[in-house]
Amino acid sequence: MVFDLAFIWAGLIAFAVLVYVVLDGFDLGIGILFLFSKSEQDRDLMMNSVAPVWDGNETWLVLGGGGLFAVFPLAYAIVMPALYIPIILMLLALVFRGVSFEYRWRTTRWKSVWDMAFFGGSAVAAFCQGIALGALVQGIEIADRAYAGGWFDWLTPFSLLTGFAVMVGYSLLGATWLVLKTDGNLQVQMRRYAVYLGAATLALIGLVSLVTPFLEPTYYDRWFNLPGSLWTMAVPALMLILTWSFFTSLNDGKELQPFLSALGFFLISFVGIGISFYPMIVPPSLAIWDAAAPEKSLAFALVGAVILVPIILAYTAYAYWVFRGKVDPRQGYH
Amino acid sequence: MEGHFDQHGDSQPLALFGVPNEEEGRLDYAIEVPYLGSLILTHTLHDQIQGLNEFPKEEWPPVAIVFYSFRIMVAIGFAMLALGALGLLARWRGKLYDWPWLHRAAIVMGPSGFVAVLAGWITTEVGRQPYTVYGLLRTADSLAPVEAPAVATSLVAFIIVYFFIFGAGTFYVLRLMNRPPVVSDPDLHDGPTRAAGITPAPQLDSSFIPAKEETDHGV
Repeated sequence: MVFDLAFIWAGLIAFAVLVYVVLDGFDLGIGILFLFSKSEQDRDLMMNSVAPVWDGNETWLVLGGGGLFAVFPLAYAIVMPALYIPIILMLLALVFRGVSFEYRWRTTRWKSVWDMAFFGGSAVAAFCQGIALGALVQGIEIADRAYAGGWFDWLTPFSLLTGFAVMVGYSLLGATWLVLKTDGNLQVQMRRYAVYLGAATLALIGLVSLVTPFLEPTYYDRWFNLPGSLWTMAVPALMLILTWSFFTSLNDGKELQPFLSALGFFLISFVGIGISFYPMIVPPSLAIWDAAAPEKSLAFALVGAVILVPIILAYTAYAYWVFRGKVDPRQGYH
Repeated sequence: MEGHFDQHGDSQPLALFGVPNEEEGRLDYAIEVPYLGSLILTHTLHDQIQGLNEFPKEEWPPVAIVFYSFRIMVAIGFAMLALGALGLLARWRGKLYDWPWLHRAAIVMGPSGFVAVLAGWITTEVGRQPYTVYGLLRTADSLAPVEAPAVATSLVAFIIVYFFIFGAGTFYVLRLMNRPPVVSDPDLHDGPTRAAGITPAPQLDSSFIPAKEETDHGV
């Protein structure tokens, strides 16, 4: 392992993507759960529970994408054409989802239209993110430092599986977030959903984990070679502990622990993906150092990141602190 | 951008308007202010910038687009200044709240900021053609390996989605504008205390308060 600028930047980008998944995952999940809400009042509550924070969460998507563009231009130039369709779809979906936060409160006749825009936008965005993840894991064809595959290389049974898995996983985050932020009937409903969604998420994580080592010989070696496997065994072991923590806390009526445990599922899965990937940034053949921008650009951009990332983290934490506690049904965000 | 094709006499005028003629390499029907071009571009009275005709034609951006979009941006900028000056004049004469033509002009100018920004954007983006990175990378060489139909499809999708979203948004904004301002908190008949100058019109002049509000307040 070489600890240089390219490595630090790969870590920063991975961090940005992880924070994005942790923060935006639950609000996309709430959009997906919108379809299953029982009343107008519940929908208002669900939306208000994320309204003050959702757009800040998407900062990290921009940081991940913008950072990739600045410091790993080759990876950016290969991944974007390879994932052109899912990424465009995701952006369009985020447009619908974003405006529905504002428009929904401005109309009565079209309220259901914007409800559907919120659900559809969230579901499609989550699905496309999962597809992008799956397409990256299964590997991207490169020739002459450019994407060499076709239009629909990203569309495989495996990427559909990861797309579905991310949708279900985000719904789980949304449900546990609502357990934390609401009470009464909505909380009871979400607590019930969280049990099913938790089981489904774990099953899908298991399925994806079983398939992944067989996609690339490198992945297989990472996970099944002694004595290295003794280290990688920590991943499934931690997952088991989190599973126990999730279901017992949900059962005991706790409010924060199920949400944190569900976030833990994502964190551990993310680490697992990292173990498979490293040192590639675009599997199977593009390594972190091959894709990096010149040393000078890396250093220059790092100065900005070192100043800005802590500031963003601080104000994000402050925003969550200000809006802590249950959502007040009488108080709108507007 | 300047519509400057050739070096002129001993100084460069500033072309206010004209019709760029790219075939002949000149500015037709030009209305020009002498010396001003030299003053703005070189900060002297007589120095000149290189004219377009000194560059090979394949290095030219589409001249007409840049020429007009820049002038649209500048014209809107001056219109904004004029509106601000009119507002000051109205304030000075004590007519800021009852000069309907000023209010109409302000409403018409509402979208002008967007138009000016778009025109300026077009000026920079078209003006740097045929390069993506000036002198280093031509636009034609910087394409991603995405097939044209895929790009066309996504472009059409964005156009449809934007028209739909902006259409709905414009509708809601116009509907909001169509409603008279209301003080939503019943305890605050007169609204919160504000600094001089930012107090909304309805709080200053009772003739602006709609009829219904007047009876409520027993005015």
